Amino acid sequence: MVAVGVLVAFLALYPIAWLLVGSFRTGTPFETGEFTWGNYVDAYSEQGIFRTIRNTFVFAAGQTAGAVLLGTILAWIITRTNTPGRAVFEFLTLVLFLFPLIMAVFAWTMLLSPRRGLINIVLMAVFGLEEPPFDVASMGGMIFVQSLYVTPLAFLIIAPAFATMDSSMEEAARMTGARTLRILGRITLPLAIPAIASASVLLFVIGLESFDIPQMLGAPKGIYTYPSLIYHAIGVRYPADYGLGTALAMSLLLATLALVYLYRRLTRRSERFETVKGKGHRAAVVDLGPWRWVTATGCAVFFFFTVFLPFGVLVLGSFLGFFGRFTWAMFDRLTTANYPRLIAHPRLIDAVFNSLGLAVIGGAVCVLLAAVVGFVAIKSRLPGRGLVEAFAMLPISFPATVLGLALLWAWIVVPLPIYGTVLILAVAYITRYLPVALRTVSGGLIQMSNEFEEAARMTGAGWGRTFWRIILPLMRPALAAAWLLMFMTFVRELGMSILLVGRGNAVLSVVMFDYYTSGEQGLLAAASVLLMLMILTVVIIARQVFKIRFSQFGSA
Amino acid sequence: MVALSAHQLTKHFGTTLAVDAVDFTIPDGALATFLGPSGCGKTTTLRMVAGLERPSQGRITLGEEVVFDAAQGIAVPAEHRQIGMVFQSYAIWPHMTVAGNVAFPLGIRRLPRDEIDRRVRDVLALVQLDHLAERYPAQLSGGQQQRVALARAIVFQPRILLLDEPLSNLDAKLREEMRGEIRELQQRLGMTTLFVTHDQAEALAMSDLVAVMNAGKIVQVGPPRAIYERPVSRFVAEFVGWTNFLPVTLVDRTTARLGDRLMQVAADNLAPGAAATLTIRPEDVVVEAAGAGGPNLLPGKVRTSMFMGTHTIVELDAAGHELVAHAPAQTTANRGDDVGVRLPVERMLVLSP
Ligand SMILES: Nc1ncnc2c1ncn2[C@@H]1O[C@H](COP(=O)(O)OP(=O)(O)OP(=O)(O)O)[C@@H](O)[C@H]1O
Ligand SMILES: [Mg+2]
Repeated sequence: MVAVGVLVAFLALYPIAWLLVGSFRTGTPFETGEFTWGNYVDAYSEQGIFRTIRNTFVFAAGQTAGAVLLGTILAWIITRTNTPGRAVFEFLTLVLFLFPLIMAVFAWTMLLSPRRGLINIVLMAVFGLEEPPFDVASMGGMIFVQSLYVTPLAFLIIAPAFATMDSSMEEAARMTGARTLRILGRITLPLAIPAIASASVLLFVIGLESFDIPQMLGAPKGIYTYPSLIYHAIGVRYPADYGLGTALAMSLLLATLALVYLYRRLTRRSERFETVKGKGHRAAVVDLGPWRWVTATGCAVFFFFTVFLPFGVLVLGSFLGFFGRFTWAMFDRLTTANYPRLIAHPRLIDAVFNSLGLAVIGGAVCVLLAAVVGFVAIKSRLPGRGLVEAFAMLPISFPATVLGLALLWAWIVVPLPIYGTVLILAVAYITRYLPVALRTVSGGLIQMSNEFEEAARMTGAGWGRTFWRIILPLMRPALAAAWLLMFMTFVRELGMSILLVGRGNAVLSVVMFDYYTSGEQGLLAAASVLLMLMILTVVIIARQVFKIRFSQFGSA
Repeated sequence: MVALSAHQLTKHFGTTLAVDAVDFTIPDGALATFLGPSGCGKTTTLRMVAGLERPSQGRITLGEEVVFDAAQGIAVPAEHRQIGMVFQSYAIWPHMTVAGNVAFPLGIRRLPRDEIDRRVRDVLALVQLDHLAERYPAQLSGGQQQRVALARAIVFQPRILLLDEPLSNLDAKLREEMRGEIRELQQRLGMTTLFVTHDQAEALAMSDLVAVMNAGKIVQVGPPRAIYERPVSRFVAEFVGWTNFLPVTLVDRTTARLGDRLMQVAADNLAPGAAATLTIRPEDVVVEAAGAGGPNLLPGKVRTSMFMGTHTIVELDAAGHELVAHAPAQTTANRGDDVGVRLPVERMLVLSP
């Protein structure tokens, strides 16, 4: 127990301590340095820094608005109406949740780039436009793509609020003469406000932290947000500007810490509200009459544009040497050459191997650690259990780029062979996503009656044996769900990996990112198709074997 | 005038038959109660009247208007039925003040602002909540929430009022108080009311008319006194406090055979020769000294005797049958005592078995 506490505290605090030190000292981690305030002064007199601040907030706010709006609509339709095909739409929300952002960006570039984008070409032809109407590589485009793909996160928080709503609240409104729309506006939505508010705060944090889309869509056009500017300072500039990177990272960290604190306060209140209600009943379904075909069509269109069309474009792209401008003639150029090229690519095999190893083994270690922490925090009466949980939850407010930079610094300065290996990636992933695993595991622990484990204690089992023989087996569904979530997260992780990957520890996401930046469209598309098939296979197997439901993932 | 009637009202949930072809009629201004054990279909019946549940079969008429008829395909939606309803959980909207909750139905009817204010004030005064108008529901006690629910249900002058176990979430003392208040209010407004409960005391105390339900059927309808004194079946009898049952065979209209004894009875409802059940309330069983003479006297042995303050509960073995008597408090009976057990003829009912 003490060991677990120390380990968890070490994982969270050690890298951040070095980041803090680094931000107040001169020089790179490889050199000795002295104390200075200069990094912050320089960072905030950097040219364009105020545009970066504004960009970061506009991006975070814009994608929050988009995702919360879409997530609320989707959650209501799926949980509370008799829209046909709701189960399918719920599954597609999960697919959307798993859709790697790099693939989404790539697909949407092929759909919305000014000259080559399919949608632009179609719209110009249909409406006889002179100019392409959309440019995905813009603030608007960044917000648009990001909103679509973080919608499932908003859904995860808001849907339970709808699903467990006391439907007699709405029936009471009907009895007074109110119709469906007015009930929705005056009763249902206001009752969901606490969940919508927490979703908004959480998504705003996610927007501040986001690396993938700002980097891939914004940075090439000079539109930076904090995470992409941090990466720019460390990973692009030569020589690397550690002063700028660490000062920006500390600033961003302060912002996310404050917001996550706000989020925890908001949700704690709503959780208390829920336990008072107690019963896990499901709210009644609203009969939409003929309107249910409208909602079904809306969902179908949404998933067509977010899942099927991008995936179709990727499949098509994987059979083309280069995508270029969309023309019918491209179908004459179809080739299967990308796949053999991909497999022959020397870095790729290593990267796939490393990614799978990290996802499978690293994911399992992370879930096991989460199970121990959850058990200590929820089931034990040990003193200090609250502190252990607090340390374990702390990294939820560490932006990936920030933690990546912190770990980089922290492990360069020690003379252990960790920096530049797969091990540092494992440490990074486990540290950053332990809170997410912990939430999923805690869901299972809270539902489990204390009496199982009390009975074990009464037979004379100590807490170690009780944990291995009773708690772990009983928690299998929650553990499986958590592992699946870790697997999916680890294979896609880019924000930390890109700072920590060197010559010997390539992972799939970084290799794909390199394909993206070097314009290897055919390889990127082929790799995307393989990655998506891999993810879907694991999800479908896990759903069959462990009966995992999307809702078990809880809110990150 | 009839305010509400149902004809052959039926509801299936999948294969469960929740409500089985019930018929009832409620006169204008009356308070009618559905009384029955858990799961007998009371809530389902009420919700079908409200329009929140679609009946599988049957017809519902509200005043002159047919609001549901399966055969003719008529189904007026709940929001157009003008029915006030108080839910078991109260369903007070937590994001609106007390006044906001009560004003909501009037807003839907697009009344002018000052008219709404006036009527909200009036109805809150009626339920004695005028001083809490600006409070939020979370700051109210259970009884106060109950009054808000009631005010919200009657403020738009509905055609009838439905109440689903409105008192079951209150503690015993408050329950009795609210019972009286609701009845008083209902009579003052002359509002036709349909009330659901599984508490027989509540049903008897408040109603003009009681309908006892069992397994989806209405088994007896009548004024409370008739239900209490003249239950038509063993099920209803048990539900309203008749606890002693003796199996007999009728000899003629005034005599029944209990084992090898003859008992005097008043049985004008059953044919001679039929099997029947005698029933008597515990407070009507007379415990006497052994060896006394007279009609309907059974030899008994005391099994247990519990002093309750106001009376003594004596469990007896009377001629091989178990009986419970509520004897006067001063009765002293000990386990194993031989006693005489008298069952006065005017206190007994004869039911079909
Ligand atoms: N939505 C439903 N789906 C399936 N079965 C239902 C549903 N609602 C009620 N039932 C069933 O119908 C029967 C009658 O239920 P109802 O709620 O009307 O009982 P009740 O008399 O109100 O009981 P209680 O006193 O417990 O509230 C029960 O067997 C119940 O399980
Ligand atoms: Mg009920």
